[in-house]
Amino acid sequence: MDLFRLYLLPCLFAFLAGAAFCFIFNLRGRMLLLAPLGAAVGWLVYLLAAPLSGDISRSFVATLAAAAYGEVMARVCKQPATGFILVGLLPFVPGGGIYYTMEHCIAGEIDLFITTGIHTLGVAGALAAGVLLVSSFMRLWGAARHHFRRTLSHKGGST
Amino acid sequence: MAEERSDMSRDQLLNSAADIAVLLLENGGEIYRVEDSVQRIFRAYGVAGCQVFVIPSLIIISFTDGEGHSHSQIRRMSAQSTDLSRVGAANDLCRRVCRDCPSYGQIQRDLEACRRLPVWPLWAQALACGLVGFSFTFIFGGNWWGSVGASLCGLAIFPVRHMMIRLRTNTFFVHLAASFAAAVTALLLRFWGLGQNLDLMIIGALMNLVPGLALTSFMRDIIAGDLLAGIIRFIESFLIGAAIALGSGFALTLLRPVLGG
Repeated sequence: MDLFRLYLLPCLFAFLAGAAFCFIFNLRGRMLLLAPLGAAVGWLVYLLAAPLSGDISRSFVATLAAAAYGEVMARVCKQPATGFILVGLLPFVPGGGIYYTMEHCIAGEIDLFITTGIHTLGVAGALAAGVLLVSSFMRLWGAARHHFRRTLSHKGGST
Repeated sequence: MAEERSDMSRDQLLNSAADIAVLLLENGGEIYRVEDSVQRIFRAYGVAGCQVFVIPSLIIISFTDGEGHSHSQIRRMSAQSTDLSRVGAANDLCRRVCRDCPSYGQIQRDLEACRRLPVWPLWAQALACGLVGFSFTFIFGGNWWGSVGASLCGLAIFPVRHMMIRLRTNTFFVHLAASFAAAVTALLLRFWGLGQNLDLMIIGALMNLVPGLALTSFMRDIIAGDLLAGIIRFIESFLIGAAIALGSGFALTLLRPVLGG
């Protein structure tokens, strides 16, 4: 029961939120099921990464999972990766950070305003870094495979 | 230079490639995808040495044919929207063009079909905005009533955003107004006693507006080497974030003295 409330239900809602975004970004067909799954996977990793200290590293790890899922699924389904990655990463975009930064600003709490603002930028940076890492790795892998295949077929042709 | 494989003239080829590029870019395709698609199309029709430069607001395509004539085309992009099924369709069209080298008329017909792809009806999009608010408030730790309140705030965002985009307002102002609407709705709901946690309600609804595409694609642009495009998208996401903060901030400062909080 605890497992359901702590892990399954949030992931279910992450899936629902992702599915709702599919309607806004006009994704259709099987994408309506596959893209939100990335958000659920990412959120599960985010919850499991609770022992990591700090929101920023948790978002980073979750982003890695969601982006990796997106890149792999994009290649499997022969669809642009944008859809998968966009929907998968949306739960980690620091909407709350933006809001709390603004609230501290209005309240005149300059210390908290600056701390929250930098923290929000940090989370956004973690997101960007996660996408950077996964996308670079996939590019490298694709290029390496391409190169390997070409040399292999070249050798095969000459002999 | 290789002979052209179909009856397409070079200007028609340039037009078709530019049309496909515009379709990709204006619906949220990545910069490298647009540049790569154009290069592939030209290669498929046997034209070498084509130059493409794309940033989110501009497409430049240029090449010199065998007789030494230069052909070039510039497309200035206005507003961008995110319609990923059109990106997918344009991508498929590009693959098909590269494989079959169809005629100009055929490409234009396919482009028209891509432009006429259906979008979800407005009521479905509005409900989706509500669902986004509901889910995120719940995920971020709100209770059921707070989530219901957030879904109403999300529903309030949609007509405002839709109207503002219709009126061709700039992105900054669209997000400012929509965020203002969400915060006002949340304040009113709390005033009438639905949902205690104002912050969570507003945050859940604001997730509708966060610059997801700009934030995730600017890094992908930068990795691909499109630094200029990456910087443009980075600034865009920063501005959208500021607009969201300002919009809800205005609402809170103006209405808190009246409605309490």
